[in-house]
Amino acid sequence: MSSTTTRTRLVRGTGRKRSRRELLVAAGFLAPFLIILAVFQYVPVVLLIKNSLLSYTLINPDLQTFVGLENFARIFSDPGALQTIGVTLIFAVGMVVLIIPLGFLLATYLNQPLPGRGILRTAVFLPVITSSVVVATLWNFLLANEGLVNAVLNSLGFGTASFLTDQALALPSIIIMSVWQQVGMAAILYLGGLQSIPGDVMEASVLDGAGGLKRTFLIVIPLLSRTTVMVVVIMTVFALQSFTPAYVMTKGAPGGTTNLLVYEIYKQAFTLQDPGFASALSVLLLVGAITISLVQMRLLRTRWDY
Amino acid sequence: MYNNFTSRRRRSRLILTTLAIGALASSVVACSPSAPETSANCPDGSAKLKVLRSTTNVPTDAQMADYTTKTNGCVTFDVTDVPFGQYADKVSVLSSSANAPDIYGYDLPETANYASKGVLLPLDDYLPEGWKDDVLPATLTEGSYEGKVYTMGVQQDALGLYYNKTLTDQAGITVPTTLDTAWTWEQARDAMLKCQQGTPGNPTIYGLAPTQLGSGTPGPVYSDLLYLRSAGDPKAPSDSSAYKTFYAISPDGKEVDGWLNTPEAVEAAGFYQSLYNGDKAVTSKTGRPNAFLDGKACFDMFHAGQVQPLKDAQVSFDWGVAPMPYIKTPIVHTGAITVAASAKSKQADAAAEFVVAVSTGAAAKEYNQKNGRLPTLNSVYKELPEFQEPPLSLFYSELEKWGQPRPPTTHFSQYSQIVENALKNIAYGGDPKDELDQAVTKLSPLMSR
Amino acid sequence: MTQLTSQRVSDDAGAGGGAGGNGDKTGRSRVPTRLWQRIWTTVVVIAILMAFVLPYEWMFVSGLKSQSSIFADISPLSWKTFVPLAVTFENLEELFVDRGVGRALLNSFLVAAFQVVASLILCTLAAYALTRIAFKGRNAVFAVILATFMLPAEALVVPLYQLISAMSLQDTLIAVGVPWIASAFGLFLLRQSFEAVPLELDEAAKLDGAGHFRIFWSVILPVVRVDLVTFVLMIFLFSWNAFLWPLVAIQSTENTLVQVAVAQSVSPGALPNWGLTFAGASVATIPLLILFIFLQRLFIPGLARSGLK
Repeated sequence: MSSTTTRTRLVRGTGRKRSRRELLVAAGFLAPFLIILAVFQYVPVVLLIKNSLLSYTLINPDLQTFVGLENFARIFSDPGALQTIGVTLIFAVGMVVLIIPLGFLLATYLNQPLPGRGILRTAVFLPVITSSVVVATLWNFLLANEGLVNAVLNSLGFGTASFLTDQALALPSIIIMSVWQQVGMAAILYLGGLQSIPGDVMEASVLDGAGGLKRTFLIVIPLLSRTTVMVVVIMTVFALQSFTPAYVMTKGAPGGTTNLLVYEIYKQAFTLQDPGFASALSVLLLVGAITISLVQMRLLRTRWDY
Repeated sequence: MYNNFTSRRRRSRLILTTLAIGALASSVVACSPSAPETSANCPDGSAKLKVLRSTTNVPTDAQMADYTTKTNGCVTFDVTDVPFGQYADKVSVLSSSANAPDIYGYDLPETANYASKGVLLPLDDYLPEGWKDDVLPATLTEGSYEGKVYTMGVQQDALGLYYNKTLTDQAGITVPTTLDTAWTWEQARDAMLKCQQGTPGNPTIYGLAPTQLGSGTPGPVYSDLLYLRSAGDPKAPSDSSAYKTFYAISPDGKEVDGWLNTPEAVEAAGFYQSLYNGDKAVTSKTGRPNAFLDGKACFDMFHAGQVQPLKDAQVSFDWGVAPMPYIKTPIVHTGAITVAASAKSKQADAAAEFVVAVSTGAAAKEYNQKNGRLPTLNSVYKELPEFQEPPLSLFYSELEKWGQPRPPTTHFSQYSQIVENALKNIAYGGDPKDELDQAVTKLSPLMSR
Repeated sequence: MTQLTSQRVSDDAGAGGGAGGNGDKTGRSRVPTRLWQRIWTTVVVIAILMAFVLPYEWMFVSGLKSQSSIFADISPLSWKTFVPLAVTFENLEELFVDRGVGRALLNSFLVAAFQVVASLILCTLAAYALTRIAFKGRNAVFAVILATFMLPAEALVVPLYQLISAMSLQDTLIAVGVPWIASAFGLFLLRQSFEAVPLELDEAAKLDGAGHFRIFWSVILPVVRVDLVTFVLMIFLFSWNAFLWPLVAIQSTENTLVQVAVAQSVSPGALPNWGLTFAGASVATIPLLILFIFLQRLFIPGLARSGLK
């Protein structure tokens, strides 16, 4: 830290001139950031909303017709679009339901003085820093009929399972892949939560005679509800934005059961030449993600004091 | 204080300037070279043509290098490779942009689609004399839109059923090698089952190699729509469902309901499904690549382009090619990757001249000969005896006798994507009728636009 | 130290309040229980390690095999599956010589470097203004910035492409990086660590006659330098792993990024060559892996915060 000289009371400038100068300085510091932000975040949102009211193609963008809310109406009448939304929601719920207990268990585990704990933590974190393209590519081969998982199953005497082409298995397979990818993240968040529980809370509970299991359910889990809300939101948003499993592994098949929303948006815009409809779906995604974030803010505002 | 303020402002200005310069520099890099310049070496002007190509397809590096040599280095190329499955996506993004390509190497049935959107340059003013009489009618039809020629076709193609003779002999199967003795699909599947080793669905030797066409997963229109279409009958009355099944799209290219989802098509789709599922499965949904080349498959559905690799690989087994099996009417799809010029090219003449050069004369002959791809020009065909002998002759006669274009429509990208998806779902176990009906529901609004 | 670093997940044994500690169960311990517990723990640890490390091992090793030996070594499953008996560099050679993966790596690196430098400049300046300068509407500005945190980038690809084209930036490396340099996440991260620097430091400097830029440059930045490293690592990670936008923004082979190159070698529309694809995936992963293994302590707090929207 830089050496500080004598502490002196700062004479606060009070004049209007002074605060105006401060505003100018602040504007100078903020301008580059705000300009780029406005151009590349806010302008696209406006364009997106405009596009969602049009019918046009990318190949010939000058030919466009204003269709009002027709694209949005189509979302709710098109069984394919509804299926996409359903699939994406199931994907999100499945991920959350699996990742919360697994992340919590892993964190409890990592919170103990185990030998090799550092290696374990590095290992579960590897997929978090690996790109989703590589994860999807790797799992594509893990789950293929001739892949590693089936080789293990075969050597244990089971038959081959077509994980990615069987209607009943494809979505669960990509859920498990995503849990594998993100569980390290959940574990680290829970670990942070566990370590922020003050020691005296735990001591008091031990004095009260609470056993391990009881303590976990009655004290630790409630104390970690903030962390849990956070994990739920991060994983839901991750799931809503997932694209690569569908793009790299399944192309939405079998029977549209892995047709994730962002992949559908990509396909509608670039392959099926209907960027207006794709924009309507994007607006829906936008609204969904913002709603979830707002709900999270709301929930996190109620702080638990410990 | 003030002093500091300016220094900070200077700094942030510096940042913006740096950004602007960066942006500028990169946009300069991205810009295409301006209009042709003439020089002593290049009296007709020099050109650098941007090529958007499907990976490993035409125009090949050799074709372009030859052309550069032929023009004394005045025409050079800048190539972008895109995987076949992404080609249509890239065209839709690029064709309207400032850095649109000058040359497209695309799949022939997309001609009507691209031409109707103003992407392709009509070639009628550049066509050599007598070309229309020399070219195969299938190429001329598919390469034209509303009476204008947009691409000349460098090659033609058809699917055949490659067989591993060592394996089929072991299994005691005699494979037909002439069109009039071709198998029906029932016969073919029986033979595949007989030759297959291991459990159906997960064999050690596949009856039929997992597909290597399209994206390497089941469903490509080029191969798998053939099951459905071959269940139809072009000689039936034109309002019958047998007739409509055969064409799989209305003649104006705008309707699919009652063409794609006929009872005949649904039944054929059920048969197609049985190749992947149940105790009569002869192939696999996610198979190992190159199964046929590695001697792990008895049969393989592939186009003439595999003859050369098989010869080059000096495989340890004997092999041959059988005609495509069919359900009621024999059919193969025509059309292959072809080359065309962009309507938006600033170097339209140079682009069109290149297209004509690779599609005709010595260049076409050399390409067809070296790569074993079927010639689309009668004159070239006559000069290349290998296409008149087996195994290549079989592909050529299939093309002539059974060839049909893929369903012609200005919405081929959408048709191809949605039908492929439906077929993939059927192969994976989806209900054939539901899947085809759904494909129709999705396609109908798109195609009437 | 700053808030960010102090909240870093502790790596020390006996951590925190010892929640879920296993000590007290052994109150009525007999030796066999302990032994069983130890065995059980070891088994679980090994199982977890295998689930996470083995796939990577298989990927790296298979990248050094030919396609046919990958298949031969996997059925039946044996130790050969995980050991490259006949090492071949064919895949790597094809990747670098024929497929230009070296170029793709370089491109990814350039984009990441650009994104890191640009966002470092933008975010530190903005974070300073939001934490050190009192001005009217500060909270409103922060809200405007934070709101973009909730925008899923995936929803914006079509209009972003439109925008980039209008600026004639399509198919440039700048276009891949520039939309994300005003990173709300980065700002959020830095705002936290700037806030943790005691105001007394500024005040002392002000008395010495320093202006805002001097305080920013010579007082704040040196104090938060550890957090700046975390920031850099985060931006690098996001940039390196990005996929959908590079896929859309870049058309030409020469400007391809490594993630796109990997995805294109599997699908859609390319016949998968397993050895080649594994090698490509390995090449795309290894740089980050090395960075992570050595700088784990700086990565994890940043990532843990990436969710704290």
